[in-house]
Amino acid sequence: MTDKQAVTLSINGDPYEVLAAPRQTLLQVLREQLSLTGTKCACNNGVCGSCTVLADGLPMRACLMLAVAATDREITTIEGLEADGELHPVQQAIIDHQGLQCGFCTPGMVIAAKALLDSNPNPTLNEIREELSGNLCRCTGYVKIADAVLSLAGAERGQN
Amino acid sequence: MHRDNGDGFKIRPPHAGMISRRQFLQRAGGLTFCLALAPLIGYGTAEADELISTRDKRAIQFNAYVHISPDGTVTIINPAAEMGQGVMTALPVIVAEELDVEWDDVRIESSPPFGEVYGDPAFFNRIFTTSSRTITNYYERLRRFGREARQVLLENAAEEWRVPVAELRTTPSLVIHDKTGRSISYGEIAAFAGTGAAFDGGEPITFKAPETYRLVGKNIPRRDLPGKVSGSAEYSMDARPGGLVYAAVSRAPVEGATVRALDEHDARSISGVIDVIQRPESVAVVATSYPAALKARDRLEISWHEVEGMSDFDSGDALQQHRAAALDLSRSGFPWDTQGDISSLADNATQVYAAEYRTDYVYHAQMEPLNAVVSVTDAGKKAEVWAGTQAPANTVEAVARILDIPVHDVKLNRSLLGGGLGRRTVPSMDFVVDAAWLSRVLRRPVKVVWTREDDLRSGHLKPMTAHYLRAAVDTRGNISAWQHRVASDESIKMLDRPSYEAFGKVPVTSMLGASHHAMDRTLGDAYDLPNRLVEHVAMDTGVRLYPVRGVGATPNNLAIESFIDELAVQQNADPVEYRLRLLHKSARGRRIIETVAGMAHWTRERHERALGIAYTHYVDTVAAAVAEISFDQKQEKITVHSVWLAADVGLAIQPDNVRAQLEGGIVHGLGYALSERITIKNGLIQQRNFHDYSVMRMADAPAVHTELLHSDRAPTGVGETGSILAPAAVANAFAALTGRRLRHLPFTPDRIREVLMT
Repeated sequence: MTDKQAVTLSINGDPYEVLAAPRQTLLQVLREQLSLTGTKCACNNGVCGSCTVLADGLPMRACLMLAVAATDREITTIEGLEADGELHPVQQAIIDHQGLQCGFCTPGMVIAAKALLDSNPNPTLNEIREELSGNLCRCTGYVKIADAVLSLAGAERGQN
Repeated sequence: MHRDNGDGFKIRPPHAGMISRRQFLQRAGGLTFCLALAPLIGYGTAEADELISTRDKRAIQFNAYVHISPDGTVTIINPAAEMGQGVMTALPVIVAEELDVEWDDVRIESSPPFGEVYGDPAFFNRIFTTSSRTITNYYERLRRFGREARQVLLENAAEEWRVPVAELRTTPSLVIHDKTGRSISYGEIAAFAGTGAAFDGGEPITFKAPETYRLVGKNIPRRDLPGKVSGSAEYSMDARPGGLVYAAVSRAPVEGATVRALDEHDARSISGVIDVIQRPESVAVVATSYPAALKARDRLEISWHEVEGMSDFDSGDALQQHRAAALDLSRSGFPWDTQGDISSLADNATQVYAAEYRTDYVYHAQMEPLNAVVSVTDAGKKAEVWAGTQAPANTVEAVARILDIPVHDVKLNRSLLGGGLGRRTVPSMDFVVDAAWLSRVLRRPVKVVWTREDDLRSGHLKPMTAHYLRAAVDTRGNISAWQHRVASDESIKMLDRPSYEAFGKVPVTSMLGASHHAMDRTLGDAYDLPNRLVEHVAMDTGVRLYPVRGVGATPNNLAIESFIDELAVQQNADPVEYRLRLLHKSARGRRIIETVAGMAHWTRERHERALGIAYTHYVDTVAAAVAEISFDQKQEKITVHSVWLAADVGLAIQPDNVRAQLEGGIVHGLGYALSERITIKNGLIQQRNFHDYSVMRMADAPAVHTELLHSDRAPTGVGETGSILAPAAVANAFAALTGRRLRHLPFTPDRIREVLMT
């Protein structure tokens, strides 16, 4: 246990102090130490997107990010998207378009879609398809997911 | 499920003090509707009682599926596994429709793992959420349970008000007596139900008229969705009982292998390691954290005993053997579907065509890597399990077996499944049992999580197949003889002996979709091939196999639909027209073909693109798809631009969800078509993770246009349909575009190159 060090994290606006080994990933800390199990682990290799979180607003693979590297960055997980008990528009759109089935890829997909819309509030269908291609959905709900995100294209401008 | 509706049952008043209210009601329901009472075998009844006791002690069990609390909450039991296909909502919708309950009053709860009344009648009354059949198989039963519970409500209200049952009607969650203007809620009835007065239970069941449905066909929001988008939905991977420790397990690389030697010294030196524990077929490292367990497992030195025939097993060689077996007509197969006389294949007067097709191994690739949590308590005598399982009885039995305790002492928490696709049905429950024995040894809850690499390494694959087809065509262009030989392993023969034996030791999963006769309600929806021999040539490789979405129907459909297209070309016939001719006995089939051809504008000229069609009549659903593709010569890449799909699904309980299933199946099937492939060398699966096992990504997914053709027929299965149609539609489109035929699934760039060069 001696190799562990105290790491200060800011997650969904809340400060956390955890003991993490140098090689421990942010994903492991989120799921096992902080019980933030909404972020999923499906490949642990950075190729499926299930563990996507935002770090200072940018989409990152939590399975590839060391916990120690997450200090000084504002981390947003799926648990941090709801505001005042209301689902985030991306979450609501995914439900409305039934853009999910088993739901295991959904948190990562929602976060990736939010990141896309934050950086490009008016994406085309092709841009959505390209940008979300790092997120695998095996069931597979791609058509409806893309429709859900497209329904928000242009919609976010007024809100932000 | 037979019962006599003809006679009125008379329920006698119980003797006061001798029977509880709930018992009386159960009896009333049971006597009136024998299905409700008799089948609660095993520990069904006790479990059902426990369900009630943990919920609301005042809740009344109207029958095995419907419980009503005095506060008006109606709990409907869902027997099936929710793995994304929406059944945890769709099945209760069927009950709620006939019960005539306000949907907002409905709570949904998982059934116990056992109990004939919760089991699937087509799977020997065990819960088996597989094969696209859940809605189809439970439909009749669930609407009865809903209707019967409503009838008990009516009878209780009639008794309370001293009026004839016939004068009562219901609106959602209310019983109404129009003559006196009275109404009473279901909850209020539950508060006094079974007070002991006699009531008639004799009305034969009349189901709702479909035009009065309020829930069925109306796209009721799936109950599992809000938790899934918010991240609060619990999968077994998220379960964290107190005192939990984590295990990483090295399992036998091939079926039947056992540990020959183990050096655990280095592994034990890793900080956080609690123990290294060995069984014949696995070595587990248990640690205080999962990363520590993984790190230590990497330090294990394990050698395994070789299994004869497996240490040099090579999938490329095996496929050649499959191919040789399919081609060797002297080797007779199991006659799966025979009719008439195929001797015209040997007749010089007829034109005989022949073709071969092959498919590679495929992996389930459900998004949630397999995992389970087990807590063994009471000095090894009891166990609590958290697992996402498609076959809960298999899970409970596997845990009971490895712990050597009765099944009654295993409590299963049925988690949501992050995808199933067949993998979580395997009777060995290889992803659950390790947590059980480890928890027994360590006396604390243990979570076993497989890495994606573990999940692939212990993959239970969709069998490889080789097909040889021959057809004799007479002078009028009719197919006078049809022979289809399928060489493959039967996917449940080795690792699901109970099912294999229950189905009569026939190649049931291999030959799905290969028949051209009435399996069930699809009577006459097959092509008219009056003289045929469809046979299975058994291969026994020893490779771990299990059904994967589409089962044998995907390769069989590729073979049949490709060959039909090739015959159409030989006859200078349009593939759509040719199929319409072969479906001359099926109005349903022709309607589907015509619909999808219309949707795709089949006859319109395309620039550098082409269309291909495929048809299926799988699990009672009649469906056809048209794929529009282009081919990039430089990148050797097929792009699928659009897929049009028409399906006759009978009554659609949740139409949007049906569309989601069909469209998801298409995209899944395009993965089969273009990239999904497992290879085995020296007995070992070569692929490691999603970087070398490529499933479809969003950028490669086409637009999918779906049209449902509704009918008053009972609901039919839709979970696999798309995955069955997609590869053949792509192959046929490629042939239309290039004049060359792709015969080996998946259609990878190297195979495309080879086909274009010859």
